[in-house]
Amino acid sequence: MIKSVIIIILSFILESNLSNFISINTNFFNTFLVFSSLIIIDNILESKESLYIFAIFTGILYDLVFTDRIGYSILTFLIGSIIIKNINKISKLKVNIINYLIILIMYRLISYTILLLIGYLSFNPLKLFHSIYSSIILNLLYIITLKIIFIRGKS
Amino acid sequence: MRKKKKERKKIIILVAILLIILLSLVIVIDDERKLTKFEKVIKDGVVTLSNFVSAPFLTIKNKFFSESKDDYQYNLEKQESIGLSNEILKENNELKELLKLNETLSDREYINATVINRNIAYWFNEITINKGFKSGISEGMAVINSKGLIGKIIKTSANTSKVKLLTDEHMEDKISVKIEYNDHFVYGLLSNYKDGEFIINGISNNIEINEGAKVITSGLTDLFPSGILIGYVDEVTFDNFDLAKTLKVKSEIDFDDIYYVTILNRNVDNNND
Repeated sequence: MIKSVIIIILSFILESNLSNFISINTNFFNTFLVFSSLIIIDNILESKESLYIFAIFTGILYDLVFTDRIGYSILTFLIGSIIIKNINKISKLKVNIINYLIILIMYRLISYTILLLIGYLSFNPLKLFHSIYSSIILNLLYIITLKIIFIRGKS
Repeated sequence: MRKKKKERKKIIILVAILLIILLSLVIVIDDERKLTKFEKVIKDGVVTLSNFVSAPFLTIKNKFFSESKDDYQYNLEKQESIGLSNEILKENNELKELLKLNETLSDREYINATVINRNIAYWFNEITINKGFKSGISEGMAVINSKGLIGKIIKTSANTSKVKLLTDEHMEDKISVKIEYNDHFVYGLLSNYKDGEFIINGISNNIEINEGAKVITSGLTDLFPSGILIGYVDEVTFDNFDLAKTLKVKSEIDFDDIYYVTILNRNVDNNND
């Protein structure tokens, strides 16, 4: 549990500060780092219920600090954590990196679809595509780094 | 049979919950919603902590990336002319003299601020700055930099404010602008932002607007004061019926790389009489 909290605090600090150093135009945009950390936290927390509760609390904090839209991140993080827990049913591949990639893409699709459904965004597949490819490298690197540091022994 | 009924019930309940959540999100996601006290306190606390952590890195960055530093210095030193058309400043001075007013609606107070995070959560086209209502910032104020209009303040807490960028799809349809042509101005509305350019529709065919013409805010709506530079006309095209012109306006601002901003505080003195 302490490890999970450390990972979340670290992710919040990085997500908040890296945007000042890395331009959105690069392929290393850091957005969604907090969500990415949930993928690793899943390996630390034993039960799925604890992951869901953790995702809800992280979502609340994320909304309070960053989006100012209480509810949006709670919902997306919760759906994201359900995907994380069921990734083995969704993807038959046993390659971790590909599974992480699928989770990240699905998360972005869902967060975009929700905003489309409530009429906040207009349909723009290019923007969705940009959101995926611009941040995927950094997110994957971040997940792998967290895995090496925090759950090296487990896997 | 019972199992099927139970499953159907479950699905109905799930769909209903999802619908309720989506409906409540419509309210929550509204840009005009003001932050609650609790939200403000949490936000300020976390941002202060985050600033503390990032301070040494920012100092190093500012030492090595002189461009951003120059921009900041420029903002500080040349506040009077940041993003403002000379024409409007002249007009403002003349009006002041004529009416012997100490201050007019166009009088502004300038507050400089640093961007502390940008476009987090990706979809919202917002930046957070390190000044809040304690520094005199309130919702609706215009935010500019040395190259023109950036956006407006949509949310404030004690030490931070959120700026909605001009490029956001919820912004541009509200901005009344005027376009310079032959020492005159023609009025129009920014209707869209596409591929890095703002679009102005419905300009009369009889008006000769050249590429490079200056586009500034008109001040006709209470959203932005007049005279703030938006950009320059990049391309003039005709609509499908050849009845009106469509202008593509290029802003000099790189909306993805903003580090320092200036907030325009309308300083209206009610004691003019």
